[in-house]
Amino acid sequence: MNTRQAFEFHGEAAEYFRVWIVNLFLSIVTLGIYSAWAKVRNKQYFYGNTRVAASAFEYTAEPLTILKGRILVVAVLSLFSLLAEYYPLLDAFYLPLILLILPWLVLRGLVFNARYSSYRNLHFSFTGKLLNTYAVVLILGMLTPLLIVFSAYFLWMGSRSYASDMSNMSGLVLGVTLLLFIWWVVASYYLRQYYVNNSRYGRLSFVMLASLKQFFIIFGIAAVSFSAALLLFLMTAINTAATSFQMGPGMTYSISIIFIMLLYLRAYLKVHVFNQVWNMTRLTDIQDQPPTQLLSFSAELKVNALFFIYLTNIMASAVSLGLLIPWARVRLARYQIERMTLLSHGDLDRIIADEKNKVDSFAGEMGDLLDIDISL
Amino acid sequence: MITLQVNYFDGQSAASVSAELCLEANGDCQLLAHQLQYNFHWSDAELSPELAKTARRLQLPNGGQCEVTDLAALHAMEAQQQDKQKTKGLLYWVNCMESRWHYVVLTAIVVISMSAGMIIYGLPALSKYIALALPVSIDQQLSEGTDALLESDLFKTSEIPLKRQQRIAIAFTDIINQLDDEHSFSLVFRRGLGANAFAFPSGVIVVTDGLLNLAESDAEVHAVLLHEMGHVVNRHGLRLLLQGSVATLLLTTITGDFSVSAGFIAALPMMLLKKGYSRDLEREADDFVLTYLESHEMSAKPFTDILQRMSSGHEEAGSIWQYSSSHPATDERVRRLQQRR
Ligand SMILES: [Zn+2]
Repeated sequence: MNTRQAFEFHGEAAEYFRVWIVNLFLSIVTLGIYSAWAKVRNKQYFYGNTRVAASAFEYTAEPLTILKGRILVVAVLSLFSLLAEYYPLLDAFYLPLILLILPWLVLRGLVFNARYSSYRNLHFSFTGKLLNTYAVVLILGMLTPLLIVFSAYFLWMGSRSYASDMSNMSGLVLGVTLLLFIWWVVASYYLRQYYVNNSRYGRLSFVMLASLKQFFIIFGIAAVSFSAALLLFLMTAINTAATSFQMGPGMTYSISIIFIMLLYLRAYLKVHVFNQVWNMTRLTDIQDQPPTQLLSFSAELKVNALFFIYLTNIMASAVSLGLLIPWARVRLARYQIERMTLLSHGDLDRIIADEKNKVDSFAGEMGDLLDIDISL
Repeated sequence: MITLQVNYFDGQSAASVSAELCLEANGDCQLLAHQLQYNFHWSDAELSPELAKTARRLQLPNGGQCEVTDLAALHAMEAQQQDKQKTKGLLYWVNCMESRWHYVVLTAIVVISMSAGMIIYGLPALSKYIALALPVSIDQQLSEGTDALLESDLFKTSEIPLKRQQRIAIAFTDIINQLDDEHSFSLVFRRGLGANAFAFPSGVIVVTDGLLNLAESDAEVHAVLLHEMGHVVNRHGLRLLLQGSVATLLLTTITGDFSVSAGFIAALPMMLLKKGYSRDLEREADDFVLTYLESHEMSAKPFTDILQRMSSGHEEAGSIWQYSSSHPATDERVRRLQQRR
């Protein structure tokens, strides 16, 4: 038995505007205290309006939990900067400390968000391990690019002392660019894999089957065509603008063109990564022997359509001084959600709660401290 | 008795069961479905707050949940049980605000005017407070690259007779000695960029030959120099920088949108803002001139004269410095100066 069920989005711009503006108002008049409730209500609006197979999603976090977490973060940060006033030595530990705590905070946020997202009264969960999180977030995500840039810097400093060869220099720049590109692709891939593979819905595990090779193809095409377009544009721009140092309208024009190119690049990457990841994700009951694949997805975003939405959203938000942001968000959400389909290879009723993972006090006590959202 | 069609989820599986919920006047509830009958009391179940047209959920004591899409029938149930209900929660009132347009318009007006007030009055006051508390050495760092710019081919060496340059420089030093300010001022003569004068945050003040040729007396030149010193003494470079960055931060946090290229969303309002900010700073620099002239019992006429002549001669095209291009309409400034007298 195979069934296809389209994801639906029932939000409306005018309706969401009211939720959004009341959230803003209450957050301002309560000096930010209400922002925890605002966050929950905002999420509930989008979750509650997303439906598939005749049921909506649900966000069930307690605002008070989120508020406590936020107060804690503010308290720790102010305590630290107060201590740094008296012990200036502490300043040196600030960055390493934050780097060290960050992966833990990321994990907490993911666990919290999953635990309080549910569908048909079954909650999602996130089973990432701390060690794994450090490997992905700290080592791959933050330390690797720093290492590449620093080693290049020292290499450059070293070579400068005995030879100031231009070809050497461009070789170095090319090498660093290539390394950073490889890092970008690898990090993007493993971050998503970490996110997807550690997600659960009831007893079902998400499994991402997309390969690193496919990521390299997507990012490679994007990087090559973007660089070519940029080079072409810069050459024509230099030819036309020619000699004089132009700051006026010419500069604004060039910046806008480059911005539009960047936006197109973003839409391209988003669409292909999103489609790739979702189309290659399965929900599997690993406790069944042999494992059964129950659900998969089909995502069909289009680059031009998404680019057009991005561009018009930005223009509308800017021209309306932010008042059209709700419209822009609803529009983007509708497009992304309604281009997705759920494919079930079996009975949804067979999905059952994960008994083992039922009580998760770890997630409940403090909430999402960083407000992170990893979007695919 | 009120009945309601719901979807029932037992919390053990993702199965969706369509069921009927019946509520008696005394609060007794019964959930009925194929092979299922469950009795509970209304007050033991927890109903999720209302939010737009999204489905509401009744969390049952057995861990099950009813998803309700028929909001009108649910309202009837709530109304019937009102006397047994606990006090209405915060989110009940929030929903009331969201669902009535006149409240929404009211909150929108408050939000818009408060953000506007913060940006127009709060921020400049705050950045002034911060800038004046910061050491003068920061202004030095802000002006890095000054020398390179002055030696670039935008400028040529001045053709003003050395004698006149020296006379102006002496008057300049004289004013500085009276100022009691920590900046290390210096005066630079250059040819280029029309009739203009501008200051770098560090205290380097540039006057162009065009301006000196336009001036009909030394008093007029002194007034212009004073205006530029006003920018330096009042830390306008630093303040503009602080205001700009805090405003961007504020705009992005208010809109809460770090994802949709927030910087570009903020670009247009920022442009308008910067224009407004620099106009206020021009007024402050003008006031600095007036205060000086008043304390020395000198007339403001030379200042208004040269302002008028500068604007009638040639309006500057956009230039790269913070405050050379953004002088407010001269008529308005002159009128203000004359009123103050
Ligand atoms: Zn000025």
